[in-house]
Amino acid sequence: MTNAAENTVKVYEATLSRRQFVKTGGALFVGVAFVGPSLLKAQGFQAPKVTGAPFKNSLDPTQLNSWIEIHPDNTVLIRTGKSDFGQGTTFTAYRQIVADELSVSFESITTVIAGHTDQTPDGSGAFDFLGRGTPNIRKAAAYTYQALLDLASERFNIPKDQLIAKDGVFSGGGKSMSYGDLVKDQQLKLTIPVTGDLTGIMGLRVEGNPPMKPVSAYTVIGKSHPNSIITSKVTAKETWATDIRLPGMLHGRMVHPKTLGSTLVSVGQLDKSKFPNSQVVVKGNLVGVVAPTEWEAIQASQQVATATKWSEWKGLPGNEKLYDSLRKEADWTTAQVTKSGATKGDVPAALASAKKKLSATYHFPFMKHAPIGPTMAVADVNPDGTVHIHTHNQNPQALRGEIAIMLGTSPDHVIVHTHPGAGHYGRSNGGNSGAEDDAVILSQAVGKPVRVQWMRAEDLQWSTQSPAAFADVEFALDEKGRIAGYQIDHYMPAFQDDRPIGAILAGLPTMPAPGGGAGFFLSTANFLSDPWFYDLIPNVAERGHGTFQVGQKASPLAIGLRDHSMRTPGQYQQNYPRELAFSEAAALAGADPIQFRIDHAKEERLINVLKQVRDASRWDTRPSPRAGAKSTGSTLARGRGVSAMFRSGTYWACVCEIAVTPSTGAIAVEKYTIAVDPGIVVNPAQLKRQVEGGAMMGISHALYEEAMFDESGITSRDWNTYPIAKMTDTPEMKVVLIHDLKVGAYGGGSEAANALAAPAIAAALHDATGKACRRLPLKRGYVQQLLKS
Amino acid sequence: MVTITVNGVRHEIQAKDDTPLLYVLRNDLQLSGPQFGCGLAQCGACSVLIDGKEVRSCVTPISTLTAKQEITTLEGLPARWAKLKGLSREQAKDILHPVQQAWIEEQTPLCGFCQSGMMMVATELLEKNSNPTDAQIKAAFTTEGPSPHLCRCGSYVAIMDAVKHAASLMGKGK
Repeated sequence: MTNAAENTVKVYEATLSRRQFVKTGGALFVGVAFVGPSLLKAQGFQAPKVTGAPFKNSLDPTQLNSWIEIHPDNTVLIRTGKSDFGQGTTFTAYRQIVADELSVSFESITTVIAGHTDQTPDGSGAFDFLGRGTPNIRKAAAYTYQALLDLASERFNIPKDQLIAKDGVFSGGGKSMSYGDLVKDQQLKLTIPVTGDLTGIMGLRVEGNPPMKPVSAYTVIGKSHPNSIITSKVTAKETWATDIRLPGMLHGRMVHPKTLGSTLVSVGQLDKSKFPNSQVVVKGNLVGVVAPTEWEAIQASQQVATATKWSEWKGLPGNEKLYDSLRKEADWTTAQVTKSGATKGDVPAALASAKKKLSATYHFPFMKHAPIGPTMAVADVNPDGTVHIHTHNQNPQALRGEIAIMLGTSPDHVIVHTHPGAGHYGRSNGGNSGAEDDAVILSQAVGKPVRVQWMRAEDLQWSTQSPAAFADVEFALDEKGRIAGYQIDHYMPAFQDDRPIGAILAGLPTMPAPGGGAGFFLSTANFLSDPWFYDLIPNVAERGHGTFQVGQKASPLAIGLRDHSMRTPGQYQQNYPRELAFSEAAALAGADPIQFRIDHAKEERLINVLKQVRDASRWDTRPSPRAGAKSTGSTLARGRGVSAMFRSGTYWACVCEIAVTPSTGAIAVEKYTIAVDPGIVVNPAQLKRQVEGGAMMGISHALYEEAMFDESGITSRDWNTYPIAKMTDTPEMKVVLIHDLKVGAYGGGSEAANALAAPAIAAALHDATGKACRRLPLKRGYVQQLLKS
Repeated sequence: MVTITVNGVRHEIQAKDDTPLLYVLRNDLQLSGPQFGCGLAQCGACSVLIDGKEVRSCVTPISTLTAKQEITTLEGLPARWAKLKGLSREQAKDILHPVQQAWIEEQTPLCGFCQSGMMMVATELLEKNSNPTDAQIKAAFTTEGPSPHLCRCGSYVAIMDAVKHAASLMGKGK
C-alpha cells in the first residue's frame, strides 16, 4: 500500500503538484517523472472549436509530461506535434534547445516523438519550427527546469541561486544529484498554461513567461549535431508512410474527374474478366477503385477511367489570359484592402514631384509544390467509428479536425499517424495533402483498411498550387537620385484552401471555401507579408488586394484552381516585385544595387547581411546594366543581381551571377552567394544544408516553374510538362552564416532561401542585357521573346 | 511465375508477370529503399542496380528479368561493398557502404525521398570511376541515365559533396 501526501506549489505561471510516496508493506513504486493523467482535462485549455468538447486520444497539453519526460535513468524524452519534412529541426535544433534550457547533454535526449495526434501535445504544422525564438518546446523545457530547480533547492535545503546545473546534475552546498534521482519515486505533475485550438492551423501555444537560459550560457546550441533520421533513412531502416501495410489492407486508386468543374455522368463498368478482385466505389463525384494488389488497382482504375463519362467544363482563363483575366475580370472588392504598418508620408506628392519615376507591373505564376512522391495515405475506418490514418502530413491535428468534419464525428474518433515521406513545402500545412480523405472514404465503403496512392499526373493536376499574383509598383527618385517615395499594390487570389478534395467530390461536409470565413486563413484578403526594411525612404504605401481563387465561383464543384501556401507564402509573391523593382530603381538612379539598398537602410543587421554577401561574392560595385550589356547574339552575356528579405527573425541577402544566351533565352546561374543572419545559429551544418536546398529550389522556381493550365484544368502532368531544376543547374554555391549571440534569439532558416533567387536572377538578366523581365519563370521562350522585343 | 535475385537472395514471385519490379520490391519483398515517384521513369526515386547498372524499377516488368540478374537495392549496398572488398560474413555484419557512410557524414538528405535512387547512381558511378570530376558527377545524375535524377528539396550540392566524400572513403578502402 502506498500513502501519499500531496502538495502544490506555483512555478511561475505553472503549478507543480507532488505526491511523495512512502513505501510500505514491501511494495515498490518505480517512479517515472511527471506522470499525470493522459486524457485531456480542461484546465487552462481552450476547448477545440470542432466539437466544443475535449478530445480523447490526445495528450493533455497542460501537463508537462505531455511535452517532456525526465526518466529516472536521467534520459529525456521530448514530444512535438510538428512532424519532420526534411527540415530536421525536431531531431536537431529542438533537442539542442531543450538540452540548453534543461542543462542536459544533447545525447541524453534519447527520444523524439513527433506528429502522432494521440502521442503529441500541441498540434500546428511543420513550419516556423523555431517560432521566432520561442517555440512551445522551449517554454515547456524552461518550466521543467524551474520545477527541477525548486525540487533541488528543497532537497538540498539551499537557495536556488546557489545551485549549479550541468549535464543533468545539480550541485550545491557540497551535494549533488542527477535529475533522474531527483524525480525518482515521486509523482510530479506540472500544469502549464496553454491556449489555442488543437485542430486549428496554428495549434496550441504554451503561455506564460518562465525564465529562459541566458544565451551566454548556451553550450549545445551553436554546434553541428547530426540529424538522427538521416542515418535511418540512408540505411533503409526508416519506416516511411509509403511502407505502412495493415492486415487485410486493399490498394486504392482514384478516378478523378475530367476537368476541375466536371460532374459524374456515368461511371465506367469494371471489366471483371480482367480484374476479378477489384471493386469500384462511387460517392457523389468521387470514384475510386480498390484491389488486393497495387498493380491490379492501377490497371483496373485506368480501365474504369477510360469508360467513365464526365460533364464538360471550361471556366478557367487558361495560361495565356491569366493576368488579363486577373486584372480585368476578378472581383478585388470581396475583402478589405490591407495596408502595411510601414505606410507613411505622402506618396502621391512624392510621385508628383519626382525627378525620375519607375512604374512597372510584375507577374508571378502559379507554381506547384510538386513533392517528389505523390500524396498517399492508409486509412482504417473501424466498425466502432474510430478512424486511424497513416500518412505523411505537415499538420496531423488539423487533418484530424478535417476528417472529423467530413465524417460528422468528433475528433475523439480520429487518430492521425505521421511518418516520414516526401517534402510538401507547405502543401499540407493546413492538414490535407490529398489522399487522406480519399482513403477514409474508400475504407469506410469497403470496410477494410485502404491505401490510396495518387499517381504523378493526379498529384500535379488535382493538388493545390501556390497562387499566381501580380503587383503594380511605383518608385519616385528625387534630384539626388534617392528614393523619395514607393508604393506597391499586390494582387493575389486566396492562398489557403484546406478543404479536402475527396470530401468535396464526395459531397461531404468540409470547412468553408476561401472567402467563406474571416481572417488570415479563411477570408480572401491579401495580407502584407514582406516586412519593409528600407527605413530611410520617407514616403511609403503598401496595399494588398485579394479575391476568390481562379475558377472557384464558376466551377460546379466550387474548386477551380485551388491554392495553398508554399514555402515563404505570400511573402514570395510580394518580395519578388519589390526587390526586382528596387534593383531597377537603382539602375534608374545610376547607383550600385547593393549600395543603393544600404543607402536606404537603417537596420544594422540588414546592412551587415548586404555587406557580407557583397564581400563573399566579390561583388564589383557599379550600376546596372553593365557596360557592354547585350540582348542579341549567340554568345554569352553575363550579369549579376541581388535581393534581400527579412523573414521569421532572419535577415537574408543573395547574389546571383548568370550567363544568358540572348538568341535562345537560356539562362545558367553560374554562381550563387547567400548570406543568412538568424541571430543565433542553432546548428550550422544543418542550416547550411537547408539554405543550399532552398536556394536550389529557388533557382528551379525562377528558371522553370509555372503550372500550365487550359480552360478546364491543369495541363502540367509529369516532370516534362512541369520541369524542375536538375543537378546540371547547380551553380557554384557559397553560404555565409552570420552567428551573433548579441541578437539574443534565433530565427528560422528553412524558408526564405527559395524566394531570394527569382528577383536576383531577373536583376542579373537586366544587368546582362539591359532588358527588364518582369514575369516569371525566366524560361527560354519568355526570355527569348523579351530580348527580341 | 518469375524468379528474381534481390540483394543476393532468390525469390519466387507470385505477382503477375507484367507487374513492374517496383511494386514487387515494395509490396512482395517489403523493401523500403526504392520509392514510387512518378511511375514514368522521369525522376529516379525507384532506381535499383541490375548487374551494376541503374534501372528504373517503376517501368521494368518482372517478366523481363531472370534469376541470373543481380538486383541491388539500398538494403543491399553494405553486402555489395563487403563482396567487393572480399570481407567475411562476420566482418560484413555491421558495415555500411561508403556511399551510405558519406551520405550520413555529409548530412545529405533533406526529406530523403529521392536519396535511395541517388545512392544507386553514386554506387554505379564510383564502381567505374573512382575519382569523378564535378562535370562527371553532374552528367551521371543528369544525362547518362534514363532521365535526370530529380531532388525537389534541392540537395544537389550536398549530393555532389557526398559523392566526392564517398570516393575518398572508397579510395581508403573503408
